Amino acid sequence: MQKSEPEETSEPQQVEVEVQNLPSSSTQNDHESKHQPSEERSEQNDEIEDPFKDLPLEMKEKLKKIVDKEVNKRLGTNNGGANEDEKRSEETKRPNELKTEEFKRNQLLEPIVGPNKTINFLFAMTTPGAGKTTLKETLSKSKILII
Amino acid sequence: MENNNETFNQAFEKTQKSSKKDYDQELVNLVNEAAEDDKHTNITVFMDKNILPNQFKSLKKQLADFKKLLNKKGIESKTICLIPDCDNVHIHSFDENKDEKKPFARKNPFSYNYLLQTYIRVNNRKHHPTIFPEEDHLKPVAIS
Repeated sequence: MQKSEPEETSEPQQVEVEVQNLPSSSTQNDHESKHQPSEERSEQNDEIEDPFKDLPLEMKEKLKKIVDKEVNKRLGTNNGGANEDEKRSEETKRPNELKTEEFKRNQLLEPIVGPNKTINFLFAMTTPGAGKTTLKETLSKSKILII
Repeated sequence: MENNNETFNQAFEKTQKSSKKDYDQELVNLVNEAAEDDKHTNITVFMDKNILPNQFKSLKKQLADFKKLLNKKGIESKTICLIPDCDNVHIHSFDENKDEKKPFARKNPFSYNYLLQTYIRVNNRKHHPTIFPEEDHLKPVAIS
């Protein structure tokens, strides 16, 4: 990849315009989406592009849950009607912190948790800025030991 | 940095080989520590570094060695590789070719959109343990 002047990509809006001509369709970065007001997000929920589209799958699901939980917490009970929304609403209604933690952990690590002693090697085929440190911090708060 | 006359890049290049060796040794130590840990049944070793496609082969071999070692001790091991969920991956082509016989191309699991997003994130990042804000932030994002 050729070097380009930093100022060319320093403005997210400018980047969006440039990206529109490329094959990839998602142009909204997650930084923007996280700062989008929750009310606005809920109104546009079925229409906006997936802001986590290009993130690693596990990370994407994890981030979606965190954002959805925060949105639902601010809005109260989600009565959107769609099955997925109802399911999410049930998850966020859980009052018990422990259960929420278990839920979060299972979403991400269910496939690698087994009955026997298991050592899981987790690594990312990514570039800087993909969100590895964020993921590591999230995992560190779970009940899975990370060394 | 011991020598104040060296730039960050010079120091990085100088210590690259030895730091990889140190990293590998530290990883071995962690795996041994995890294998001897009797208090926990599930341990996750998170390798907080960027593995690019051209580095995957050596890591794969390293992980296979760990697996063999752990199997002997009756411990299961699983590996999960997180890859960005990009719809439109592309092929990088380079004019530079060592043997100059074939055009050099490599497929990456990244899209241009992904690269731009990560670049923006890195560019906006103020604090990082190894990347200084004044450094060229595109350099670590570039795919080699």
